[in-house]
Amino acid sequence: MVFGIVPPYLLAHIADLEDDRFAAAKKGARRALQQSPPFRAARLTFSFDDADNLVMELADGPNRTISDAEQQEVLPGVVARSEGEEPTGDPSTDEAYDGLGATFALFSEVYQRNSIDGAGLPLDATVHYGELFDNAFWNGERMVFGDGDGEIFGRFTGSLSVIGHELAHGVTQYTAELEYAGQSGALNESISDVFGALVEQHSLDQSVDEASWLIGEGLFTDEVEGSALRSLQAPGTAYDDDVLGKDPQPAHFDDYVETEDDNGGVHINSGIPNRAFYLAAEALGGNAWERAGQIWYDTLSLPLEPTSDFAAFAAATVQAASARYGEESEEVEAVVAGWAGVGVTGATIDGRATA
Amino acid sequence: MAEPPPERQRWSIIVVRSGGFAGMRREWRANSDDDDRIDWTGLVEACPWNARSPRNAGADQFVWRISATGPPRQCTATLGDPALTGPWRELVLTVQSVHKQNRATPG
Ligand SMILES: [Zn+2]
Repeated sequence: MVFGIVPPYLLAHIADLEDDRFAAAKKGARRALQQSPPFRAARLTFSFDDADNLVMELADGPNRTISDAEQQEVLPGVVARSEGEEPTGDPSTDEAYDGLGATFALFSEVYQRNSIDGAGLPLDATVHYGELFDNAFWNGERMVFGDGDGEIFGRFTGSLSVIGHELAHGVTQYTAELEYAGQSGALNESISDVFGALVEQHSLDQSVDEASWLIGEGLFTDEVEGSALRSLQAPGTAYDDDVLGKDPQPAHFDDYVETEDDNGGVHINSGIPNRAFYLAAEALGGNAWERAGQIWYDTLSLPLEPTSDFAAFAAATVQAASARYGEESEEVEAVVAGWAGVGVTGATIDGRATA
Repeated sequence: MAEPPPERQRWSIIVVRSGGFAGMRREWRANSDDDDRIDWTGLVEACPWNARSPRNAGADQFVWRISATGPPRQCTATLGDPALTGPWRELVLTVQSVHKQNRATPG
């Protein structure tokens, strides 16, 4: 059971406890008190162990602030809901709040990463940005969500994968720093799609087979012929509509799109690494966030160049898989096969660890 | 039907919006002839075509490519969404509204 925010005086008390039964809580409390600013946020959980002892555990918690731009294109807007506050009744505000919580939970509980920067960075978001604004973005400091035009797009907080996608851009900014153009830009996009999909799967407790692997499901209005904006499982099949045309994502490196638009097609060519991830996850089965997701997460911390191309990133994922699971592991095999399945191969991927 | 004065510059303007979370490309076009009550030369000349626009920060922001052709003049610029303010915004909103009118009343 989660009891929300722990006041600083209680933290100080927990940090001083002499009872060994509270060792984990004591450690967590000390860590929270050492943070600067002194106290941000934590989750306190109570349970009973086999001997009927009360066990308190303190874990990292999110520090969310959702602001409302009130249809202006001015940031940050007025604060609508802060950490620990009750739902406001405004769907955009509450979806952003819950979505950031679900994304924080994936990174914290599965990958032991405390927020975007790994050090409890506050999660700031703005909703109701602009008038009929058809977009969601990360501006380097906060996540921003438009309401959509109501004809093609509904509100952008309506899909958890979109919220996870935006927060993951922050994680990439603090780790791999992939430049937002060409192949490195498509990788940056793909990483956000991967973790956006994983947030949804983790939150719904869906296995590889149960998951939709869609990004932005439910964003389109009923007028549009399409289920979502992108599919990691089958890039190029998410929508096919009279007005919007067909999902332009390639699923194979042979079909890489050269274009001046969209920083070199970063939202188009991301289909290639997206499918490589899907293939690796499918080969491993079970929950995608556990092994495939762990490998992709580990890859972000490797010394990648900002301009890394698909081949360099692929080699890094193999290195990450080897380091965690061993060179001869089925995980390495699945990752190599995933990249081979989208035509990203070469001397750099041979199944051997390079570290 | 009065001929436009000879010194009047005629423009053809194309606005392309790409990127954004959805990565969908949209295009709007307008010509001076579509609406000669508009001061197209004034709109075009008000824009700082030669100023370098900063790259978009972060990710998923729209990218705007604007080109104005009025022989012998040819101007192009690529802007991030936060830079689409002042005269740029004025020009883009005008092109979008003329484009929409043209589509609403097909010749
Ligand atoms: Zn993105």
